[in-house]
Amino acid sequence: MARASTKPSSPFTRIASAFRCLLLLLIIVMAEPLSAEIVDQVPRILILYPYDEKIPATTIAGETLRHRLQQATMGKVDLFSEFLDLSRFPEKVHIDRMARYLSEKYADRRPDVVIALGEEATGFIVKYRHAIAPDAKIVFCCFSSADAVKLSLPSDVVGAFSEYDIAKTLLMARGLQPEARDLVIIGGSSDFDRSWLATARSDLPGPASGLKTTYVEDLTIDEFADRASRVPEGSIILVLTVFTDRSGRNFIPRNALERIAAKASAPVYGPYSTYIGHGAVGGNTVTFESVGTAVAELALDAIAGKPIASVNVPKTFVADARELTRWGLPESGLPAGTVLSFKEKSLWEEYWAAIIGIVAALALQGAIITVLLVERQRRLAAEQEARLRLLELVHLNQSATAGALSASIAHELNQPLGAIRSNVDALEILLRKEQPDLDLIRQILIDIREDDQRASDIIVRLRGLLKKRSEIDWQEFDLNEVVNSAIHILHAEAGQKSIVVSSSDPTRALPVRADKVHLQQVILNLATNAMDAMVDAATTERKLVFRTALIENSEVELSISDTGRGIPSDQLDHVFHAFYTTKPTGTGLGLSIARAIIETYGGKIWADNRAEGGAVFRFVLPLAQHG
Amino acid sequence: MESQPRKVAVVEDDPSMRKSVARLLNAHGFATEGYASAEAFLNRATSSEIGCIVLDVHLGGISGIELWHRLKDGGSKIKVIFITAVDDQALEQEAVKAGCVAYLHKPFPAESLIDAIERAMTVSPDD
Repeated sequence: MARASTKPSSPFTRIASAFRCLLLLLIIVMAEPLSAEIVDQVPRILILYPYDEKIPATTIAGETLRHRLQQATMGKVDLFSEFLDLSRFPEKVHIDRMARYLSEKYADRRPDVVIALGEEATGFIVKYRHAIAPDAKIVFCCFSSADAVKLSLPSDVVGAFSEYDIAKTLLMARGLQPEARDLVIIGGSSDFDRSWLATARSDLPGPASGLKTTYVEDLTIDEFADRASRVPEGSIILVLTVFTDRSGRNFIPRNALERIAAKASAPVYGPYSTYIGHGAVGGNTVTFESVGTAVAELALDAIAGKPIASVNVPKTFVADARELTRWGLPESGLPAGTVLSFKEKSLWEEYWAAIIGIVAALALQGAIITVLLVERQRRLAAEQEARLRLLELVHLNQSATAGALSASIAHELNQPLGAIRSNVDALEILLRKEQPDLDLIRQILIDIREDDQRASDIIVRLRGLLKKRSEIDWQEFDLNEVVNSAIHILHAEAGQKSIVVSSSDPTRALPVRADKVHLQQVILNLATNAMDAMVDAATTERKLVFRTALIENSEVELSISDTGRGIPSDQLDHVFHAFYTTKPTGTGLGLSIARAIIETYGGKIWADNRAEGGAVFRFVLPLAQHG
Repeated sequence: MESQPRKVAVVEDDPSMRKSVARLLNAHGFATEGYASAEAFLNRATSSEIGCIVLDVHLGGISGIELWHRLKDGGSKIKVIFITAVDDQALEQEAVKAGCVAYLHKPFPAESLIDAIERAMTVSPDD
């Protein structure tokens, strides 16, 4: 609001800001009775860390506290952090310098609340509060009420006490190890360590509890580890803190515990949550998270102007599931409400959603695969069926062609037979003579043999034409060869119809992969069509021309052109359709079968009209690659 | 005239057939002249010596039937014996009706050809 008044104000902004003031006032009246002083500005909270930012305990407490403050104020809080580093710089000159520095640093931004983490930070701020934060509420945490007494804190300084109860840690240990007879308690040589040992001695039950208790102290870290490795079987080992060992080495207590627990021959317990994950089975402790939350609540109450008083942070049992497993301790032996860390959930517990997802996905995949397999099976069956049908159809087509050509085939066969007969009859006469012309007889015999061969060849070709296929007989062969054999079959028919058949001289072999009989059938279909076309059209010149060619070194082409009447241009695409025919006796299947065959072998077939008249049918097939 | 071998023209496009028929006729004492086509026969140097023609029905180019018609149209009364490898009853009836000496289907026995030739020869071409 102060800011609003410094602005050059138009009537509108003035009205607007007045409205805003009213609104805010209304909110304040309706909300909790916050002090006007704090409402005026975003509250400033200074958090004092005793050491640097690397100490887990204060870092965890600090982070929890910051998070809680941010959350509760919806971010309307100014948080400051200072790391006093009092452990490494315990000298008074440093402490004084730090106090002066903070006093000057916060001169214009005096904190409303100072939160001190730990005894050292608390002692520091209590001593220098007038210089650094004269009007601030001071709250603290992370030590016990007994320690607070030693600090002789002013009555307005309150905090969240961490009351450790080592007896409860032992209670957890005995719950897990009811048969234990020996208790080994380990503590270091620092003042803090010794105060822990003293606490243990006073708080833990004596031998009356049935436990033979041994205190292990004044040793080096290796000696502690060694002793821990040689405790009686089934012992309980209780590690308090080892900040310093007998040799004067300093440790972060959890690291010291880690070294001891690594060698220990019995379960190790300790009163800190930071020990979890470093070899301790567990203990009763004040977690630093709960400390942070507790002190944050105090600070929030302070900025809200509520009266505040010291509280005890609730204690929790903590345990490490991996250590339970390591020592074979039953989870059921844990006190109720124990926070169990590192519990390895069963696969199902951890990943049930993923597992369901994966199983569902697999099931779906399986279903899809099954469907696809069934579909594939059906397609294969259908393809097989289609192939059989095609083979049947081709065979019918072959028979029809054979029928159509039978007259000319008979004619062709009668030529050698007739020649043989005449030769034999002539031979008979010649042999009756007294001095037969042996040279002539020999020549006649040679001719008979040749004609016999000629007749035999015709029969072989006819057999090829009638051969029925139950499956495709894949072969690699020269297309020219099939063209020649087709021409042979057609030759007589063409002769009768006064058609001159010619073929281009093959420049090279044109290997294709197919069933020879099928390709021959295609050629016969195309050629007989062409011949019929020429007979129907009263052309003077009847020429049937076969031409083979290699196209771009990858395809083989055969063209069959005639001098017939050609094909109406709008029907060029239809001629290959089944039942398309222009002939009164045609089935209309010849060309559709030809196309089915060519496509079966990966080729294409089409028709065109020649510029000089007549039609030309072409097909291409893939060139068979050798090797 | 009896001692002179009478000449028979064999017009047949199948070389082997032409040759074997010529041999058969030679063996029976006939002289022969072979022609591979009707055109070749029409273009022959002389026509005087021919006693009869053994003519293939289905010749490339001018067919045997057509050749006969042309000869008849040209006033020739030369006798013709048709030989054929094709069954074509209409053609056969027409040829027989038109007065061919014989219409033989290949393969035919020597006797039927020789018999037909003999019959053709007994009638003078001038009749």
